[in-house]
Amino acid sequence: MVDIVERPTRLAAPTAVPDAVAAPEAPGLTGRLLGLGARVLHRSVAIVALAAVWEVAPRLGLVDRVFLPPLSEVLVAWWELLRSGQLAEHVGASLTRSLAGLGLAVLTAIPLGLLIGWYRPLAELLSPLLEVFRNTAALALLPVFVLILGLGETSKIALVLYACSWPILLNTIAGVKGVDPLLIRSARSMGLNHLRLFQKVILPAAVPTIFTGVRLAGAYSILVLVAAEMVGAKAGLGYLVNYAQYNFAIPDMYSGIITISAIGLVVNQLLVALERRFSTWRVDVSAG
Amino acid sequence: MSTDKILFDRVSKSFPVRATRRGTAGAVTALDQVTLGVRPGEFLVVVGPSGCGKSTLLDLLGGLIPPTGGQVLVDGRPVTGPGLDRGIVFQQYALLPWRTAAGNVAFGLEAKGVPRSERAEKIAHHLDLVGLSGFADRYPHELSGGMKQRVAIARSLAYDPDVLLMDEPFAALDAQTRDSLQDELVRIWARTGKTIVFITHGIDEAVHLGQRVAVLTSRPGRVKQVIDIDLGDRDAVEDVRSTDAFRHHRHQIWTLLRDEVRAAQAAEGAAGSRAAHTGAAGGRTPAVAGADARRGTPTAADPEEARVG
Repeated sequence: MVDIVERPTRLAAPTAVPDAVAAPEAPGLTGRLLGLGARVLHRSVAIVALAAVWEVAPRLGLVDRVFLPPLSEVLVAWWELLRSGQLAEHVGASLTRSLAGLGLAVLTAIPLGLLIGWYRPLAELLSPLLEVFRNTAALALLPVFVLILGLGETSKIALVLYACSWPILLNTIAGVKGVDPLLIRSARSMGLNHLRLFQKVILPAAVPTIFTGVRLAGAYSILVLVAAEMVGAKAGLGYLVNYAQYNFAIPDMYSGIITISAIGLVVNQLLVALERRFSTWRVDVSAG
Repeated sequence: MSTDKILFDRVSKSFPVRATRRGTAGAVTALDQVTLGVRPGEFLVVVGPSGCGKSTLLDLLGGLIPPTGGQVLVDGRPVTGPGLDRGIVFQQYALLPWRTAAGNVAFGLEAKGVPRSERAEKIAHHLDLVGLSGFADRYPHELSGGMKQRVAIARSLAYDPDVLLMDEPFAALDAQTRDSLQDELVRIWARTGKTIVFITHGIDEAVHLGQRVAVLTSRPGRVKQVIDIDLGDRDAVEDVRSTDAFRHHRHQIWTLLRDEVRAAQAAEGAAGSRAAHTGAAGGRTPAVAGADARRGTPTAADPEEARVG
């Protein structure tokens, strides 16, 4: 599960960088437009090819068009779902759950991670427990959450909270532990007490690493939620996909899948932008 | 003695050594009964072979570590912890990468609790003092090594410590930058009247900067000799490094250090075999034994030494 989530997010991060870096280098306006056009073309070739294959293969009978309808039919179905307001309902339900879970994870895991990273005794006490839990797939615990918290919103948000907590927690711990010891020595030589050392040195130094955790958690939140919604829900994108499949509304099912990837992409891009905003000094250091 | 700004009073420091496959746990003596006084407003340089405990001396003075024996006195009061009366400048700058040059200078002022309204003026003044007025808004990664060290010096001076402790501050810089920063440091010292304790392994740097130079022995570190440096009127000659006085002091220190460097090398060679087995005393015995054995037999010096002598 971890691999599936990490792969897209790792890919997304570097692709966004060349845009920002390469743009000012191009010479004249025409050249710049041409360059931009070439880059857009270059980067959209694979997507366009996928769309073309999806459109053509079912029409040529290479795959069963009942199970894989052409892209255009799927898009028509998607448009219908959007017009009827069904899509908005499902997206709203899913986003509410995943944002609630992610938000709660940020609120609990960051303070906990700061504590564990800072107080060695606490780290020694908790690290065996953390090792066990972080190596337990979140979805394996879904039945447990359902048993204890029921089929409603609580169990879903709790599962998202659980899944999102790990990347945030582990990155926060790593961020606090990874602070340059020289900076701590230097601050200590100025007589800073523990609290102010933490506030003025440890925390700012750890922020970029913490944000990497939040970005990973953003991807987890959607992945885990969709799976949870497939098990027991009356709304949400996971429910839409699953329900459509049961009812043989195959274009609707693909509409749900497309929407899920689109949301995943948007959430990740937002978090990447936010991450970069908070870690300019670190990005520049590694580049230069 | 009572007039000393800083006094190391029979200070010893040993570090525990963890057990390895080849030997048991023990302790290494970094400093052994060091007694050294620094006068108010003095520029004192400490030189010694690598690993002789130079930096330990500075950590003790900075209050970052406690001594194992003896005490460090500043203004007659024993050092119990870090304090803003002593500013440390580290070799690797230790600037906060998320703060600008001005922000880094402000850091020390915040630590001291200087009111916000007074900070801007102090920051501007001290950045100007180190010749970085135009670089207040630059981040450390946008500055060269020499500029970073200037910011670090400005940061330490801004909170107005009585004593400036410098731990090989120019060792990571290229030769030209080092030369110009040395000149500037002497100028800043003359202007501010701070007491400066400067750690280095460079003989030239020691002679150039110091009013007095304390030469340490190789591990365990002791004060071998304290030399008064008299270069005459620095401003009278264009290139102070080429004067007879400079060469004389340089040779003096080099001679003192030669034996210690050899002892240190001998100790490193012996450390692998003997020190590992002797445990607690291991860190110390081979060093002394090696030094005694080599002292009587002058062996061929390496090219660098030949040129210096």
